[in-house]
Amino acid sequence: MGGPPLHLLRAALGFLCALLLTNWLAGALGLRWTATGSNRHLQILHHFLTSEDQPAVVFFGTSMTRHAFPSQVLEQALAERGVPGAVWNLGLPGASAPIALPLVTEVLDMRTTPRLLVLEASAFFWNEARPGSGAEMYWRWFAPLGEVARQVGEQPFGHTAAAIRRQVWGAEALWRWPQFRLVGENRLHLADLRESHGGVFTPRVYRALEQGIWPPRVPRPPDVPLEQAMRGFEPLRFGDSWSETLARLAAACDSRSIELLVVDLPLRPDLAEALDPAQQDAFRAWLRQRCELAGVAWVSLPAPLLPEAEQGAEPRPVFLDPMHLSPEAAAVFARRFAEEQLAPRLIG
Amino acid sequence: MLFPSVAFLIFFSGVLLADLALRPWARWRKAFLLAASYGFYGFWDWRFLGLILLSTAVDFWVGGRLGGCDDAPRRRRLVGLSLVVNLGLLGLFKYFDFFVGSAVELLDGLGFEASPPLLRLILPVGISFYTFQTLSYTLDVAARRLEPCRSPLDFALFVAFFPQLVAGPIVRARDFLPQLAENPRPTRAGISLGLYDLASGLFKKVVIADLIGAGLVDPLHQDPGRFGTAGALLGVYGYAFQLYGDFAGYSQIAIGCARLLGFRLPVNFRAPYLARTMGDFWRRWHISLSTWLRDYLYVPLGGSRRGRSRTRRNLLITMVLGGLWHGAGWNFLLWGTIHGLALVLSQGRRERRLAAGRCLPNGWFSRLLQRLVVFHVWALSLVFFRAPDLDGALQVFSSLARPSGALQHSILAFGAFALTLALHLGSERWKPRVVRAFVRLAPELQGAALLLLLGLMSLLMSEARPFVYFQF
Repeated sequence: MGGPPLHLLRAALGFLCALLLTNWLAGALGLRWTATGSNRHLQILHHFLTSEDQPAVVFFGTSMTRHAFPSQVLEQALAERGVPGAVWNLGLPGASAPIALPLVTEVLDMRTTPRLLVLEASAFFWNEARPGSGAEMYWRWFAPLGEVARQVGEQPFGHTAAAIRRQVWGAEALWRWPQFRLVGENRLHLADLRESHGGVFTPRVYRALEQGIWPPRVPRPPDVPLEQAMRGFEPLRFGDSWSETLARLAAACDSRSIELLVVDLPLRPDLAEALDPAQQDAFRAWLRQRCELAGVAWVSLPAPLLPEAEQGAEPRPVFLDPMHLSPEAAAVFARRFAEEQLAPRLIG
Repeated sequence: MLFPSVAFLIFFSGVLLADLALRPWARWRKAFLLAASYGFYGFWDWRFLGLILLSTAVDFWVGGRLGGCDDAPRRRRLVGLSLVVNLGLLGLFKYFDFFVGSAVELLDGLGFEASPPLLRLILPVGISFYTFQTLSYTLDVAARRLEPCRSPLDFALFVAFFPQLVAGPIVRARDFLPQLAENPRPTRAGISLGLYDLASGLFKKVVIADLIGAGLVDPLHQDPGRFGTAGALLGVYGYAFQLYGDFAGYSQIAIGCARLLGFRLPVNFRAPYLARTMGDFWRRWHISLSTWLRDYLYVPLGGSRRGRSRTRRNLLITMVLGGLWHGAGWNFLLWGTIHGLALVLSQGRRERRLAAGRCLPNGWFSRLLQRLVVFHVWALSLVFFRAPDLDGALQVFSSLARPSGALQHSILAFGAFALTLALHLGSERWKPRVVRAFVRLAPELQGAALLLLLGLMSLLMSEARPFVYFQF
């Protein structure tokens, strides 16, 4: 073979060599997280990565987790039980179960690990058929190529495409590197790649990080209509591509001495009644079985009861919308969870 | 599938490899390329494969019949059949609802009630391009400029060749059919040029067009009332460069893909914003369409051979229909009319200059002024092109006349705009040097350069935006 085909082959080889070199160089420079660009979920994870806090407990799940477990309430409840420590709520809107794995292996692994990781057990979080499941983030940023290759055909093509696109992450990250050099002396703590593990974000995020604020604004309360909420739960597909996720997660936690706890979250009655009970029961049974096999505790708590409103006052809602607890209900829910589930595990 | 997408990367890599293996066997190679082209088109919407097959079959048959026919009325009937089928398809899918809807509005305005059914058909991707392409074949055979194609495989591949199928360049049968008959293979220089075209086209599309579009243009058209003169001008200039980056980028990617397979497609853009007259502009912008309109519409109408008033009429008709080709809407008709009038004016000035024995002023200031005038005529006319409707266009013009207002705040988009301006202004000097330098690079370095560009694109692409000209 010679001439043009050889030319093409040599160009392809040059491409591959440059790919390997840029990935290695970007990794050596600690630019692993800089290619995340404006991905909101990864920015949130990276903020916690560079935070000074050493968490005792980390919660991970969707916005349902985010609204059900206010950190301050949990920390106070634990402190009253004689268990001081930070609680991180990493509930990411629209997240999905596979992202929990790189959370443990990459984010939490870079610092003192928590003692407890609480994982959401909602069908929304575990539904492989959910459109925009956020699982693409896993394929875009974390999934090893071998896993991608094994699951071609099972995953939506978008996930495979995202994983293929990720292979140029080094070249992508190196284009961002000049941004580091523009950071002034008073931001050395962000520019020191080795200590902070890198990260370059939009100016807005920089300002928020400097002020110690994350997120920059208190998130507005969700207001998910019932039909939209249902689309996250049905059609429901579980136990296919993500069937080994819990086992892998349990193994990763075990190797880092992190106790893993899976918690089911309450739904508003209208949503619970609208969903197919047989499907929901089958999903819970599957997840409980997976938990048992992996030696992971599974907890289910009912929706909290709020004290009756004073005479003449509006009754306080337990739920903001079909999926999310109200702040008042979350305070009661989180306190009870801290007292009944967290404290005994942390004290022991 | 869009060119800047992983799906196309996988598709094209597969096509390249298979083409490499099949090259010694011309028929199998062409059959594979045809199947790949139909697959590429079917990926958009398989339901419209039937239309392209119909157009292909009719014009192949018509061309064959024309070859053996000397009877003038029969030849006219055969050409008429091709015109009816191709323009009929175009008219049905693209213009039916527009004309019926406009007629209904007119009747309503006159006090008559009418409610004929609208078809609401989806516009098949690329229909404006491949119908013009097949028509060019029929018309060239009818004019005896081309011998009829005897190979249905070659003809089908000429119509459906995937790099240029959905958004051009519009390829002439007399340029492409001989290539198919040769079974061309890429040369080393061709591969280097192909890689350069891919890299350059992707850069234009992703770095220039998408950034400028998102940062400067979309904000203006989403809320024109918010912007004043400065912001509106940025958006108007920005769209001129976005459209250029998008369309020239697509054409260049198509040319690059074709080169890697050993085929040559016509150049479609040649630094259009360096044009000094409107006539010059249309010899630099979407060259394949403007030459098509010249050869198959303007010249048959009489061109410039029948006196000044006929020439002006022919220019106006050609440009109005050219505007309509871009879209079924009054804003496109208006856009075409503006350019028809601009060409008429430009033609008139040229005639007066020639009559007075003068040339176009050639000093640097004169050249700058000429380019600015042409650019502004083009950029301002594009307001009708980009706005969703006439009302939207008028709102943008109102913003242009408003001294104070918001300004776009995307630094990246500003940077892309400034970079594009600088590159374009110097393109006739730097571009040949860059191309030569790239071609001289070792193939390994060419591959490495492509990787770095893909990294930049991946950084800037949050999602691939469709090419603007796909809507035609």
